Amino acid sequence: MIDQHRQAFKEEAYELLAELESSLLELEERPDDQDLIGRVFRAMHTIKGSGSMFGFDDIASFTHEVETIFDMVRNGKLQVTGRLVNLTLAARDQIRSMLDAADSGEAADLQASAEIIVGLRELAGFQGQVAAEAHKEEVHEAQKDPVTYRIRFAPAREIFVSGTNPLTLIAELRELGACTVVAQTAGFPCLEEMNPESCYVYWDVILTTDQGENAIRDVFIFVEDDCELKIEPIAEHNRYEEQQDYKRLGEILVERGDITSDDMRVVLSQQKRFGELAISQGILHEGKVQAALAEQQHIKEVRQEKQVAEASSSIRVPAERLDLLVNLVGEMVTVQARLSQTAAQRDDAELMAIAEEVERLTAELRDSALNIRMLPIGSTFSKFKRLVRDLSAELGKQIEMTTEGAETELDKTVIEKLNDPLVHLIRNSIDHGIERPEARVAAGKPERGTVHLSAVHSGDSVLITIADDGAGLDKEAIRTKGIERGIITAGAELSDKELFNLIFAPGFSTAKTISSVSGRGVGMDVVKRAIEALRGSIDITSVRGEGTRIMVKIPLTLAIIESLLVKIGNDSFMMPLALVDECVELTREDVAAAHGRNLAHVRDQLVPYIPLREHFAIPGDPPEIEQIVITQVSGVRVGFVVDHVIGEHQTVIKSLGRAYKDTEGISGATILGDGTVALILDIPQLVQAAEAAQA
Amino acid sequence: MAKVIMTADDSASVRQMVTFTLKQGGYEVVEAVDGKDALQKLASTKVDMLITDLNMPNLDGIGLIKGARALASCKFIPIVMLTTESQDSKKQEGKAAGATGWIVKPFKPEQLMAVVKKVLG
Amino acid sequence: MEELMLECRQDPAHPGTRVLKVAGEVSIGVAGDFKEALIEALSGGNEVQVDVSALTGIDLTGLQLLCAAHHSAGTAGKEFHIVDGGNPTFRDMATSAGFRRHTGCAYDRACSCIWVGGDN
Repeated sequence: MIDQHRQAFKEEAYELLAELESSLLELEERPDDQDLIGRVFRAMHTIKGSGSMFGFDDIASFTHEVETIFDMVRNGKLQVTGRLVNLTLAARDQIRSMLDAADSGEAADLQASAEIIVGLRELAGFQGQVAAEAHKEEVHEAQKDPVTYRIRFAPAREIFVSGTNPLTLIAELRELGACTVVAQTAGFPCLEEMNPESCYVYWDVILTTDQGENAIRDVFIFVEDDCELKIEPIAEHNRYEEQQDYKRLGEILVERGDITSDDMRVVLSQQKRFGELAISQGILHEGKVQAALAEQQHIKEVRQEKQVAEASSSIRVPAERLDLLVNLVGEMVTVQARLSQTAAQRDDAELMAIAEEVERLTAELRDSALNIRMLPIGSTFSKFKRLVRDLSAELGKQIEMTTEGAETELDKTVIEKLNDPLVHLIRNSIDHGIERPEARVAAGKPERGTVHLSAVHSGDSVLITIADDGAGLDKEAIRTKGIERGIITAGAELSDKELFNLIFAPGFSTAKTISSVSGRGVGMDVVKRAIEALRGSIDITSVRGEGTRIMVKIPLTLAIIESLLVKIGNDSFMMPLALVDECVELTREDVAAAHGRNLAHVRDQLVPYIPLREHFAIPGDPPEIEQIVITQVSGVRVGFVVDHVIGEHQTVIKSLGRAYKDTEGISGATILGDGTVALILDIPQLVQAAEAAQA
Repeated sequence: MAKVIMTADDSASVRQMVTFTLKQGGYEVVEAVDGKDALQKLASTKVDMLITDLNMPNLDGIGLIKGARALASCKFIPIVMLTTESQDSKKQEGKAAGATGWIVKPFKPEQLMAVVKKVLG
Repeated sequence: MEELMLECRQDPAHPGTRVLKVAGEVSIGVAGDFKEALIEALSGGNEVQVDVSALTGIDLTGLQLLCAAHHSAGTAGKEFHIVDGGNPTFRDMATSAGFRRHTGCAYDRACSCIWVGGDN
């Protein structure tokens, strides 16, 4: 491709040289013709410019000398003489032979070039060396350590007429490294007075880059004269490693020169959040504070990233590979179960020994494979801190978030799916739970509320608690609303637990007005459903005036569950063991005694049950004595009638294919030791469907 | 839809190189051999950016930039001029006429693309 | 580049609410038209909703005008909202230009800043 360009240049150069020759001859006759002089200059200029672009450096530097002379002629500093024309014609021939030489590979006659140049220089009256234009190759010495810069970029009002789009420059900055951009809009006029073709906005940017300050200046190279640009490094990375916290907001603002330290002291003498105060006292406008906050946040993030990078002498692996591994392990567990079963049937001592060994290894393999997918829940927690900070500011509340157990590990998929429900619960605590500062003080509580988030391992589950020290749930309000919504009857006797559980009922919301924070149509019922989809459970306790505590219990992993294997006819089903309370018998007499209602007496308690044979329309007759597996979902006990209970089983969950994905009542499938398929029952959904059918 | 860039240059080899580079970068290119030709084409063709040489017969780069800025369709488009190092004063003159930026000759295809990206986004 | 389409109408469900539907691309060439449309919408009702869900591009001038319109609405005691219907183009532009923020601006006493939040 380069060759093609070189060829094009040569053709062009030969043409220009031919034109140059005739121009020069004409010039000898009419030495004052400005048009001719311009033509000669342009020919030289083009040969020089294009020549250097396509690698004819010798031609470029030689032509440069001639061009310089003709620039002087053009500007009236030098007269066209016979000697000048002769020398230029010689130069023209020299360029031609240099072009010829470029292909043949022969070196051009350097001596001839030098003689022409000396002659031309004498003519122009300068001695010795003309400063040769060094073609500097710009070398960006990449700095090793990233430095964080504070950049203020204020384009001129009329920047748009120069064809500059400041946003492309901002985008270019982002490419240099981690970048936080805050647009400052405070100087905006009202709509009527705004000239739509002027630029009013300016930016505060925090950029962490290892490219050095020159790289940043390069971004703005075209607009240097059309903008106000301030670039200053703010923190050597080593420096803040030693500091526990990054600079306080006030400190940043003083450093930026947005506020004087005297002003800061005035503000600080009152105990409130610094930023709010400074704005409310008119010392600062909001955008400046926003930018300073962004700086704090940016540094925190950069630091966190650094810590993460340092802490891990680890390997990054695509998640799919892990999924594949877990799948393979799952199949392995299945095969191992078959092996153990076969060995037991054969009654072969040697085979039994091997099967036991395989069983032990498989269990270890399974545990370590699942372990790889475990991540600490901490990253999610820190996201929530930000959420709390922003929301409380928006609502004018003072809320502190404390966390505990950030190192608690959970399956990656579980953590991801847990995010939305937790966000919603935290929003609820902030919006409905914690009172406004005035109300808190009136109630004798500290002005600043607390939301405490904790995670702790408990058996094969993780218990996540969100506790606030807010107003607590208003039982009467819940009861009234429940009656209003037709969820409970007017005289219903409900325990506290049952009452609190009402807020998880569809369409229930106790907040008086719908604020922008919570109550956007997503109810607690959706949260509950999401938790249940993770095979978890949610519980709530609350003391009026003291606060509310929501406990979410989630299994460690979604890939393998302990379950109870049951049979109906020839079909096998799995029920998650975590939900199973107990099993009782159901005889024909019991059924008859219930008069067609699906209720069983279990230790003086009535337990509703769902006959699964009927529910799934499985043909055949039930045995004399059926079994009721009693489950407990959110404090409600519901039985499921099956033919036989086989026993506990470790189940590797296989998702159903796309065609069966949305089948109600079934959440997945597994393969049993003998190769048959067992469906995993979605207990919460079955219960819900039954309740809905009754209502 | 690909963005359209006009290259105005009296040097055929530079035009060829610019055109080739821009097309590789996914742009459509309109060529003009001098300032006058460029202005005529701009009047009837909508372009997203203009790259112009400064030294051209008939109408030079400065004249072209001024003429282009007077057209409603070119009022806010990025205009980049090609200069040589000896023309620092030209840079100022070009900026004053309404140029967005410049590229110093000689330049490599990558440098051209970097500038196009800088001003066009 | 898609042409800018502006359509202002009365919200049939809420008297006094003007809905300004913006489709296509807001660029500096049509910023004047956009400004006029915003002024007209604001003069026509006590509440203005700018529907940018069908917007395919917005430059700095457009973002500036939205901010100024919000400012003007606040001064006049009117309400001003942006409905983006989750439009990723609009959100990306506002975010990359640094307009999205977490608390409102200085004019914003009623927590109505149009750039606050984003995941609702």
